[in-house]
Amino acid sequence: MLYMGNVNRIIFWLFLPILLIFYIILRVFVWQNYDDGGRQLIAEQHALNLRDRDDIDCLILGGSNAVFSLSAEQISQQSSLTCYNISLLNEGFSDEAYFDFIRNLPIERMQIKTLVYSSVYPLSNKMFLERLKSNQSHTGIRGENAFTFTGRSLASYLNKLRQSKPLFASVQYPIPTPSGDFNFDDYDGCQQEKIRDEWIPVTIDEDFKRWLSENLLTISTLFPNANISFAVPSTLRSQVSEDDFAEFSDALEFEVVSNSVNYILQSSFSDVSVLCDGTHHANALGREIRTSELLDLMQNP
Amino acid sequence: MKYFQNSYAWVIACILLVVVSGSLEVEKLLVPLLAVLIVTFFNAIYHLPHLQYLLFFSISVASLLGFTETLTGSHAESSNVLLYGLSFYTASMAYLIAQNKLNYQSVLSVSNPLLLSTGPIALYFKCISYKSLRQRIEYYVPFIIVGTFMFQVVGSPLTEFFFLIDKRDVVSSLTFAAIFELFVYVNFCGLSLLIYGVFGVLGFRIPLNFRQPFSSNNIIDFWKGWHTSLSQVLKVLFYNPIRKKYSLLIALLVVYVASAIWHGVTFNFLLWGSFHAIFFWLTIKILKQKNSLLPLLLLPIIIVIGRLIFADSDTSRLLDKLKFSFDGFGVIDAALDVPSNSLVSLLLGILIVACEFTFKKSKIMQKRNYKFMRTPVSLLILCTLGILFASNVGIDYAVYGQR
Repeated sequence: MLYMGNVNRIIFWLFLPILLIFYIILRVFVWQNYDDGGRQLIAEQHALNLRDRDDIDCLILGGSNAVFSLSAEQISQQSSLTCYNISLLNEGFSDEAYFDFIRNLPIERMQIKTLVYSSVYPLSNKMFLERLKSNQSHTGIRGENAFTFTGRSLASYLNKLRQSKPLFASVQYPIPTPSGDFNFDDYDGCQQEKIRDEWIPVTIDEDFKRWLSENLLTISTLFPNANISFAVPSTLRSQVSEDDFAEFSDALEFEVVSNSVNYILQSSFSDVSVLCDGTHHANALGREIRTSELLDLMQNP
Repeated sequence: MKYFQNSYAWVIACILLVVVSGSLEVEKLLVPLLAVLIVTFFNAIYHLPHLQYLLFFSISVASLLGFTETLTGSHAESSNVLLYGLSFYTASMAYLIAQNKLNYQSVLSVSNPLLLSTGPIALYFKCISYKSLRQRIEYYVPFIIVGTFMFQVVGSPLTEFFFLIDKRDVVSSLTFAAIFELFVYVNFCGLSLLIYGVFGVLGFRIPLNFRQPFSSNNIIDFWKGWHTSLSQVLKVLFYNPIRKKYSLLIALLVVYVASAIWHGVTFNFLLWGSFHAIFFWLTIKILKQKNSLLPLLLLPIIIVIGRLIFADSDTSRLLDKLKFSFDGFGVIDAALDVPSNSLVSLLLGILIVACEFTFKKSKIMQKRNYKFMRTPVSLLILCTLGILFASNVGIDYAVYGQR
């Protein structure tokens, strides 16, 4: 007990500050080793793909649901449209970043006659709140690469180390095909066993209505001649009862239509066998199914 | 001199808030100050009768009219920045008016942006700058560490379990209620301790909003440790005057229904208020029979069922849950499917509550001021665990700081 006071003082004035400094160094190190998973290269490839194209009259916009689960090539093959998929992972992280990306693409925007905007945000309250946060912090298409006091836990890095995996390498997404589609041939990251079905639709409140109408207005301003459709993507949806979902869908349709945009509700995926690594990320087979349904719903509303 | 001290605390709070939130919303910070100033002015001149009740229930009116969200604890930040902190500064003013203490000196402390962001209600705001900086650091920094650990390391990852709110069977709804209780505790208590520590280091003493509520033998003890600043306001505004004229049960019903309406004017809150009032009263009756075991056994049931009612403002879903229909244990698999960080947080949260409860009679727990987590060795353990498990899993938000 005689020396306890000294021990306590050493812990408080020496060990705790050392731990704090160690943590800050760790976060700086993680920040400096940020890896965007190929997002910047993908965006640049879209610009390269579109540079020599003047025949496009149809676009697919949206986030990873559209990246994985919609095929512009298939739409072009099965209809008279010439389509291109400019959806980005995480929908470009923030609306500002995504629409800036679209604005800067070498594309004749007046020429676009058909446009599908497939966003997963109406289906996930959690993701929608994160979107608002990213919008507020003006996150760019590479993602949150600013210094933050939280991030992946040290435990997860130690776990990687234990499994002899590279510490800072994240999932690398493939360069898109000439029609902007996800190239499943170059991707081996599908892990069906990790799929969790946890969608809870957003509350259609003032925040959501504002977000929706602002985005639809921006899209219709960017593409004034386009017939715009807002697609609710296919997911597993086992967490929500059919009645609740129907009620939600009616409310969402009302909001979408009141913005002079067509509303397309896509059916849920049958099971994980048509999925890649998430309930809204189809594999090649799931993409074919969802794209066929979308085309059908567009042609026969 | 006091004006200067309060202004200094106000400005520091603004800077901290702007740095943390990353945005400067001037109206968010100035409107409460102006509102408090105007009310203080009119109160000083006219001494309006029952103004304290009008103020206390102003958040209920705002909630009823849809200007603010109900306070179920789920993330639902009010989009109207002009109503920022309304629930806290109106309750503070109501308390000070009831105590004849609302004056121009208290304006700055009542409208302090940091207090409005998450509480506690400013019952007092004492300058302790006579203590040396070193003394203040040694006493208050541990509160900051404990608060940060509870809020960030334990609290935020627990939001990954929120999908359970949609499930209506008994196992799922009770599992959700228990986890949600834990979340609200570590979130609100964590932020309260953090704010307590920050103000302490800056040289100000504010109410300690939580006093180890789980170091309790019954629901009465529990409420003595939960959101103590609100309890004090309710006692002064409702319990004391009502109890002089009416029975204990009536006084308790009024207190809890007033508290319920403060949180939101919806069916679930009215039910929650009545539920707790009746069990509080029942516990008193049982304790008078010299039976302390039954209240102890009732404690977890009251807490979990109370939270189940509190958390769900969707009436039809809540009524379905209260049928307690059994639908197997599938939810356990679903709950275990969350990110491993959330499972670790759940374990840590359970450990904190278990320590509070199990060792409640030990000397270190007697003051119920989290000393067991503030010893240097405990802090070393918390910091090590924090470094290991701090992550960006889940959503960071203040349960009570949304309106």
